[in-house]
Amino acid sequence: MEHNVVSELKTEYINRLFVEARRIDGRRPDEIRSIEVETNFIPQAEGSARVKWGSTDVVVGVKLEQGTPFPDTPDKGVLITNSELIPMASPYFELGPPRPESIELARVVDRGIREAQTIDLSGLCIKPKEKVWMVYVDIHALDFGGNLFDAALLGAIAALRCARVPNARFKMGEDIKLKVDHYPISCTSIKIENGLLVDPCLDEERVALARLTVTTDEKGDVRAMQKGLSGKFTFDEVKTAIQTSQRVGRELRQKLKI
Amino acid sequence: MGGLQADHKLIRADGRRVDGRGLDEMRPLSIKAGVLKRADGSAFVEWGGNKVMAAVYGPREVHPRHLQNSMRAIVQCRYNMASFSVGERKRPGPDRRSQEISKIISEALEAVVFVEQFPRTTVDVYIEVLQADAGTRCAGLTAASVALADAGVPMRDLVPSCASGKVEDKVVCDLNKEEDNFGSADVPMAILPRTGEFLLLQMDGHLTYDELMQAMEYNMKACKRINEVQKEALRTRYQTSAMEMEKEPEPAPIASIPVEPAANDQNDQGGA
Amino acid sequence: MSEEERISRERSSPPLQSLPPPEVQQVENARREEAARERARREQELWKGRGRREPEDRRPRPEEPVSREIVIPGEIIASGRMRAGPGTYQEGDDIFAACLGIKTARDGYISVIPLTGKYIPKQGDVVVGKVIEMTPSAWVIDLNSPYVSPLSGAETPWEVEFNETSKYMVIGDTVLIEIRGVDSIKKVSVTMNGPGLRKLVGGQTMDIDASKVPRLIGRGGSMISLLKRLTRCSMLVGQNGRVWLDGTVDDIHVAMAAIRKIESEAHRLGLTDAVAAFIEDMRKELDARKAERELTRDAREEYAIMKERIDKTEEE
Repeated sequence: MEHNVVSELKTEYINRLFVEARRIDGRRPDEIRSIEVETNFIPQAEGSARVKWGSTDVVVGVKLEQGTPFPDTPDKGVLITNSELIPMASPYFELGPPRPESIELARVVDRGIREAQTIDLSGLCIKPKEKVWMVYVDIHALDFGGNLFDAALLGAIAALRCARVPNARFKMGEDIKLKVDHYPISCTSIKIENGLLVDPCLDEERVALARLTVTTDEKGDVRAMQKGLSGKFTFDEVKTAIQTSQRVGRELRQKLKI
Repeated sequence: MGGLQADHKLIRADGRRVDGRGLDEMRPLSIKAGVLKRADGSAFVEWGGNKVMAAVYGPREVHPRHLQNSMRAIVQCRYNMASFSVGERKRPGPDRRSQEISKIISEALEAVVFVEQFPRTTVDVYIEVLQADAGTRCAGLTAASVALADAGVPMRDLVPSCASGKVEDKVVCDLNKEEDNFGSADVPMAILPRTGEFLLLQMDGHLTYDELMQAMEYNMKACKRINEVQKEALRTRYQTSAMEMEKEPEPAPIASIPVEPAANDQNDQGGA
Repeated sequence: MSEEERISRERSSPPLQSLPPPEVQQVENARREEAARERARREQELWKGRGRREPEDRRPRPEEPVSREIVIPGEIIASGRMRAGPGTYQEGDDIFAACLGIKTARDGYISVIPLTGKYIPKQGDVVVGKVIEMTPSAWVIDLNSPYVSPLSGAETPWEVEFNETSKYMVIGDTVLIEIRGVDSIKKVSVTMNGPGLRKLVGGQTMDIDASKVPRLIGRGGSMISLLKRLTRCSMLVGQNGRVWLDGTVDDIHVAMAAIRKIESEAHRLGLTDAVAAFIEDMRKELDARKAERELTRDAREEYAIMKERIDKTEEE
């Protein structure tokens, strides 16, 4: 059985490699892993996508149900993002109610979607104060190989892009496509003793001192940020992470034609 | 499950079912083994509209310690349906149905794993239903036993599983979602293919003795075919040539496997 | 670490990563075979799950094709005249596969060599362990197995006083130890008293599937020797699938990639040649990248120096 002890040796090794601008999986420090996106992976759901990002494997499902709006936004639909870090994905994920890591993941993805105005919630109102569409984005991790944040947001966006509003199910006419206006992309960097690594793989994540996820939109503007873990970033490191995120955002949009 | 009547007929005028199958035909089934990296063993089953992932960790240490059995391994299965797997979004987390299914699947697997070889350990099995189309516990158990073999856990046999039932006045093999919702009986079953012994058996609905026998015989034959698909998935997983090590092979889906009809065969005991 | 240090370390440790000398091995094999037959005779109904420990598995697989037929649990593989070996179970006259593996027959025994599976400790195995817990008088060692083992202070060459365990080893340390015994409920005891057994300093470890260890070692140690030679790393392969390596950062990088390749292509024919070619390709790529970086660095430095000189001359 794996024990959650990251040996000094491994930490040292990763840092030594960094000095030579290398990483344990052969990448450069500013290089992200290969990505595969399969949309509509769960055809019965309103929208879905499976993202294989390096060895991380995530399924995101989008379901639309009807419900009552929040009292302070009576004419807006509701976006609810949830994440399940199921024990299948890693020996360190436990059964039970969502732990802080799972909740943080869901909220960071949610922030990215919401702050980028990915979907216009006003357009999801059926009857003000009474009935609106509830958009549920459910993140289901299948295989944890490092950096769930970026894989999960990409999956969420891919799932929303192919999602439909299930009018037929509610006898409100025919299904129509869910309107998606923007496409945020996040990029996570971690700090190790000797510097920054973008898109950490599993081993790197386990030795990370601190983590910064930066979410950008099509223009390269920043929509959300999240620092995690208990290490510290210098101002320069933060700037580098943001610039890397803008670059990765551009590259990914080009590659995936978003 | 219940007496809800569908607006349309579940058995067509030509004797075929809503999806065109004969009474004794299974839905298309494909199984892929070894699809996850972290888990010790894994399998992905696509069966009709079902998409079910199973993963195995173990044998490994038991936490919390008080659950461990000093003489043998315990088998802990958790069956879960993803929120997006069903028509109306399901609240995440275990409900009573999932807990019951988890229990009966654990028991079926305990019967085949050589638990006495690994005292004080647990074999953890996780089943996630990503898309549900009736017979999810059968798909889950089918996937779980492949995942166990993929993990190298010593076992007596794989465990194929299928659910037959009754729609209108006909006993049919491998219920789909509509048939399960609007039919009058559901009989999920799992066997040890070598001996034909039952490892899982449930029934709900209303069946005469003969109808029940028919349903179980359909299941028996279907399980034999499912076992072939399971074995093929495992062989394919390990027999890829060096060149193809990077890509994972897609086993061809088997469309509407006809199960040999046992309806008129009085002598057929439906076993070996 | 200097070249001399590395060589002296290699010399001072007996070749535990390869097999013991041929004569010792033959005696060992004969003893094991007899013990195996005795066990099989006694345990007719149960599965014998010690596939990796029996002589036919201990010997590294030869390069010529053997029966590569993969068998699935529950498949019938023999009847009657054959005896049930490891990885199988018997009911009546019939023998069935008990795990996913490769069917093999030798000396009237039919066995299944598992393709994968956890390492189950066996007496006499030399393994690479990791300290995961400490008590006042012992350390708890992770064996890359469902079973951990205590290592008591008394089983080390040190004079360990009560409450002073942390003076010698701490959590995260790597050790080369031997399995002293495994009882009927798989409680394991280990020792560090023995030739070559010690705390391993420096280097890296990686875990592979324990069932691939014979392949990594190779017939007569051929594969591991090749690896050590081509990667210039010192290596110790534990029976538990944990490998310790030491060398330069580049060499370890290449060695680890090669070991992963061996692990994933264990059943391939001509693996030794493929591994040699793979290592060479990796080296070339690393050298090219290094050269590129140095070129860029050198070029920039040179330019800077040149520019400085030119400026100075111009001033003068």
